[in-house]
Amino acid sequence: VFGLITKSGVTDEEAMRKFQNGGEESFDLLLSRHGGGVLRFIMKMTGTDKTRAEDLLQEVFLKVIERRKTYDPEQKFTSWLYGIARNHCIDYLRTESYRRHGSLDAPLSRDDERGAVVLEMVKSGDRSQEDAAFDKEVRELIEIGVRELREEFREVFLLREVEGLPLDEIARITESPLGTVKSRLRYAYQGLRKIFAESGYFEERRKAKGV
Amino acid sequence: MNCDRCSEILVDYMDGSLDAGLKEEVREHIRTCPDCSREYEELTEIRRAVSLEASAPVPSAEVLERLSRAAKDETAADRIPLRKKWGLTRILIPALSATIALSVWFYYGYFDTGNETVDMYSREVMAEKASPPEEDEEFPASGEVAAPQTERRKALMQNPSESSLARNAPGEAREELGASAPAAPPEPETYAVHDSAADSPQAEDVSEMKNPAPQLSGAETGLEGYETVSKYSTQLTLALKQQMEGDCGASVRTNKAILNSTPVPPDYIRAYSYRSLAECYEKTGDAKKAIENYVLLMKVSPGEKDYAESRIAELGKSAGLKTNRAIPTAGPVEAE
Repeated sequence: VFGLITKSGVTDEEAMRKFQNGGEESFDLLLSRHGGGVLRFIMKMTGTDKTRAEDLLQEVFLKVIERRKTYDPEQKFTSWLYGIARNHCIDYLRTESYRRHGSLDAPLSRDDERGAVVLEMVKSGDRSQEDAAFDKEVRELIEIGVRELREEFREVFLLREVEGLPLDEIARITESPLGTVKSRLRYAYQGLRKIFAESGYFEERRKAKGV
Repeated sequence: MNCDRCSEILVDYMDGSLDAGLKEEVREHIRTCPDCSREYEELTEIRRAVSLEASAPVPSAEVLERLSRAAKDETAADRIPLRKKWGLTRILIPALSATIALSVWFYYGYFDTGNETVDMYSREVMAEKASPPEEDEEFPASGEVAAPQTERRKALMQNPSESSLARNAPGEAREELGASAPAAPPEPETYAVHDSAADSPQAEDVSEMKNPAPQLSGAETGLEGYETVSKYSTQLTLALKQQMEGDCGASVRTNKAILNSTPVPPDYIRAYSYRSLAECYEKTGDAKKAIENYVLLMKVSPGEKDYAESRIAELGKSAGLKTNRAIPTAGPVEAE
């Protein structure tokens, strides 16, 4: 049913306005457009598996339904949606962190072991193997790298580089000034660069490129 | 350009969001500085790695369906008339409409047309207007549409100052200040409680209640009486809410508190209270008290006579009472 929705001409904002006025099919359209992206954001932001992330996704979209009347059609729908998703993820992380460490301040421990495994995978990668296989390992490295980032750097990085949202929208979503968003994005890149460097990834790439 | 500055704006450079001059400076710096060149290369690698990300996961059909259904249920709930959702709309909507009407009248009557309007509704002036009663026709009150003309005139003759709920409440508000109250105002007896919206509660829609007229607090207007009226409305809302939630005991207590407060609440407020009480007693099986309150309701609100009589007849049937016995002739109205 969701694949059949082809009202591509309708903007998110128009669809949301219709949904506000009782057009439930517009909700399906928005869900089909953004369900995957929000799910991906949730998975990467919280580091949970798909099943748990789907529970969170469901909670996020239930909030969209509940709060539909509070949406201002002048606002970008994605800003509003990802704002809800982002806050929900942060709430989840707080609860999880508390549950695991008994304190809201305790940092999540760094998963060194897992990083090392990926490093081995990258290093031992047979140069003759298909690029696709190499890329798969890279994706895992990225995943771990992103998880290592501080929450406020991670959200900015994911919204910008994975979800492709413009910086001013990210500023609204995270309720931070644009300058702060820019510097957080920079710190996120620096953090990933460090993790990538430690894994030997850049070295491998340079070798691969024959430099 | 130094390396720190270059590093600072390197991501912007990758984004292409720098202005032409700055962009050229960065490009030049990268070309000549091996460290920054390396950094640029590595950041680009990271971005490439991110872009390898497989397309977004697809939420399971189960989740999608559940959400889709939730959205349908919610929007469907929007379309159910309030009457069905709350059950009590017959009371609640007139109550809210009356409050809104009151606010509108108060706002425009007091501020837009100035003192003349206020004087127009004082007891003295109203009394003058009402005798002979024909003259009152110049002031068709919004709330009186439903009241039979004869009945209304009779009411006016009995008590010329009370001609409609909309006028009545602020009138009382003024009197409480003692500013324009004539000596010994007659006790309110019969008012038309209906307002036009109250006649057709089904036609009401939630959306219409979203933009109530501006309400002015007593502090802004300097009329403490208005606060009293608003206090009754607040209590009434609470009583109706309690009734709606099925807590008849609490609702009865709140309604009794309203009816026993001084100064005596305006009749339209009392009408809602009597009705709420009657319905609560009816619900809890106390037919006698229910009938008593329906009778009181009829007295303060002739417009609801049909409804009250039908309820009394119903109660009389099930209780094996004679309906007529339960309807006393006009007498002094006592609070519950």
